[in-house]
Amino acid sequence: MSRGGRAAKLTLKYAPSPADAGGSRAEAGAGSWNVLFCRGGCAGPGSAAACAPRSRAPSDARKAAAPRYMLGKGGKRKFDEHEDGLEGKVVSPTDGPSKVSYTLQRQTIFNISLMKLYNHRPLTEPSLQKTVLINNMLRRIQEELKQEGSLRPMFVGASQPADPLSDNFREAQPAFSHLASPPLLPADLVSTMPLESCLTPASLLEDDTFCTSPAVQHDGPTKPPPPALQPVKDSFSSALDEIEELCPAPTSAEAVAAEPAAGDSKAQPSESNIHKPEGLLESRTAESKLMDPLPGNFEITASTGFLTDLTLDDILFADIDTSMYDFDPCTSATGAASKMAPVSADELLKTLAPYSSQPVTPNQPFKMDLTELDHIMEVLVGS
Amino acid sequence: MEGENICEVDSGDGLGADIISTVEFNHTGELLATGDKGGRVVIFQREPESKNEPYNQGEYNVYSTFQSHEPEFDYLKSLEIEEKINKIKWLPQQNAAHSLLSTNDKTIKLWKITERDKRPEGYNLKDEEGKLKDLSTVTSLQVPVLKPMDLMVEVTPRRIFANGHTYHVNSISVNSDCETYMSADDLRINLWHLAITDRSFNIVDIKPANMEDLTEVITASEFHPHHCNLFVYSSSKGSLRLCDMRASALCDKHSKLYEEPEDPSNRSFFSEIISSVSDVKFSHSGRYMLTRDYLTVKVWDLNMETKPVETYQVHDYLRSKLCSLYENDCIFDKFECAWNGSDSVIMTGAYNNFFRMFDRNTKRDVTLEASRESSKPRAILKPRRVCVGGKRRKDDISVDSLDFTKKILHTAWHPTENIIAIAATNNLYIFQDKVNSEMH
Repeated sequence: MSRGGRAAKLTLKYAPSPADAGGSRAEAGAGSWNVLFCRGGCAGPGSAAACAPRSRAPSDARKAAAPRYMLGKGGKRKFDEHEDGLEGKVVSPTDGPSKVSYTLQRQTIFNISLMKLYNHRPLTEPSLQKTVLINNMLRRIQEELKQEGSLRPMFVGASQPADPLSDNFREAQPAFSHLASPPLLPADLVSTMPLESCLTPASLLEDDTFCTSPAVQHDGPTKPPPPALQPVKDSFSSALDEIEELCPAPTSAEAVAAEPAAGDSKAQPSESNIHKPEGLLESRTAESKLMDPLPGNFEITASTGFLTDLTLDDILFADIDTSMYDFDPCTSATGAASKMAPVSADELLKTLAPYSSQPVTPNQPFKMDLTELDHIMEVLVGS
Repeated sequence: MEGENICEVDSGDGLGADIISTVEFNHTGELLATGDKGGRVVIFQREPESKNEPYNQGEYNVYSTFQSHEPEFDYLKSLEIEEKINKIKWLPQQNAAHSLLSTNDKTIKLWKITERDKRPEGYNLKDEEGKLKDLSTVTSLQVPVLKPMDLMVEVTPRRIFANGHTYHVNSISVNSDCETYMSADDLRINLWHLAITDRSFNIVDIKPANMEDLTEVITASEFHPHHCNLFVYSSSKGSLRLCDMRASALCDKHSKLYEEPEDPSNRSFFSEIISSVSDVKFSHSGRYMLTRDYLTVKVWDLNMETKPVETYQVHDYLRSKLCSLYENDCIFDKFECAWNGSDSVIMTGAYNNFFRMFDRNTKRDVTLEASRESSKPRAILKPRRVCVGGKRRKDDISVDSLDFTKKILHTAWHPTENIIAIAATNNLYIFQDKVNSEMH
């Protein structure tokens, strides 16, 4: 039975008219319920209890926290259609086109669940039932991903969640940090990203285009990037997308090939985003999808010290086209960077962010304002 | 002919402190207690029907208001303890006074409600204000007499059952023996004696040794109406457990487990969440149990553990919207359910201030709305309909225009008559079926 779309059948739930109800005493309450009493708020005039007069406040104001209506995200409409088609029927991952929707929905639910656990800062203890249900949801999705992504054990490295369910579960912040952040990305992903990975992965040529690990396998021992790189996700995730896409546009491939440093395709961020077709979602690994969610998800993990990772510094400074300015920040800066406090790296990210989001056409050198560069150097040197 | 009493009291202090959080009739239906988010309890009393004032027949008026719980602060955890009243349960009346139990997340209190409508006058040693008289002015003796006075309702806290729960109390239930009651939180159920506040017995404990392994919590519990040794508790995984206190001191091992296997055609990411039971109620007969999960109400026969005997869809049109409802947290809303006095009709709330009634005999159901607009004097509630597409009639509401902030979580049914109390956010509605005022 198809439950797709809005045309689901609804059995008639309509009580007889009051005339009918009046005639048949056998139906209690069918259509003859009358208003006996209706009051709101505090004590009435007859009561002497302390009930201070209060000004009328619109109920909407109180309900501001929860969205008033369910629809309201225009962007979700398409998703809802997928959803309608999905809900209510068993979707196995081997179904054809529905796998896209399935994985997309699963990813969305995963993200929402994480947000719920971490963005909540209650004054009172959060509901244990809610925490447990969200936790179970995350576990289930994790299990599924584990089974699907069994070729990539690094993701699975995140062990079972621990803290949210302890007696101090309200301190949910640290709980899932290990769940959300697979092991630190070794430098090899960045520095050894082979250019060959930009070529069409062999898996594309297979009949079954929905196998779970198309591109990354091709690359060899690639490791999933940690979500801690969220702050530069615009550039980095898109680079990853590039690599794993089935059929990147020629410009993207050229762009990657044109980069001097290996694998530092971070310079062409949004361009590849634009080129990325919708239908290629299924080819992306689960890990890369983890980076898709709203940046807010991983704020907490991003602040827990990943920024001191040398790898990140490599990425940052690899963006700079040093040949143009006869300036070599990689060696000296990297050396200095290893002593950087997280805060400094943060500033750097902010500085570089505007640059990374600019679309860059291939062959266009990566320009950077000299003053900005000076500023960065000052920060590095700590003056 | 239906009496109606709209009290245009300004409500709303902007903080939602008067959002009604529980509604409960007493055993005769004469009194109706409501608890709110601000820790207050308001008791309504039904006007006795009299020939002299036919317009006031059966109306409920405010009888008493008192502050039951205050906000507290847990210094150990640095967290506030909400004063919101989670549940109120009346004790069976044993003398002229009424008693009820009210609970917030942590503390249960026993309140005694007494009336005073007479006072003694004519003391020999005291004058009218209570000051001692000058003995030299006393020339004769008189016997004090009781004179009528304005009715005064006094509410006093008689017991405070504190420090019994680490987790949030979600339900309380008075035993049919009228001596004990139980309180349930997320992981434990305690048995108390009504007269003893410094001791309680733990009868269910589902806390795992390692909290990381926690996957299921207790969501509701209730004593059997007739058998003082039986009680049931529901879980977040949709199962019910009937326990017999005679079996052992700790009733972790259930006597019966009621669980319906999942329907594979309806499986989704949210199957577990929507199967979580938000309320369980024994029928008055004690033969059946009524459970409410997110989309359905189910009637279970105590003798059959494999599946419910009846299942009613409350708002199945939400099944395709579960992801959105998960995102805005509506999927975690805990709706209550209620039996009528004769166990022939069941009722539960929904969104958009709708509530639903299902007649178990005729299998007919109705959707009604509790709103000020539709509650004009002597108004008869008009059945509402939610349309999901396809043919749409006038006055139908489409699924997309439902207001999910207006939810009816708490409802109560008079124990003997067709009178229902509906809590819609901070408004209380009482509806009566005058046509069918007798139970069938």
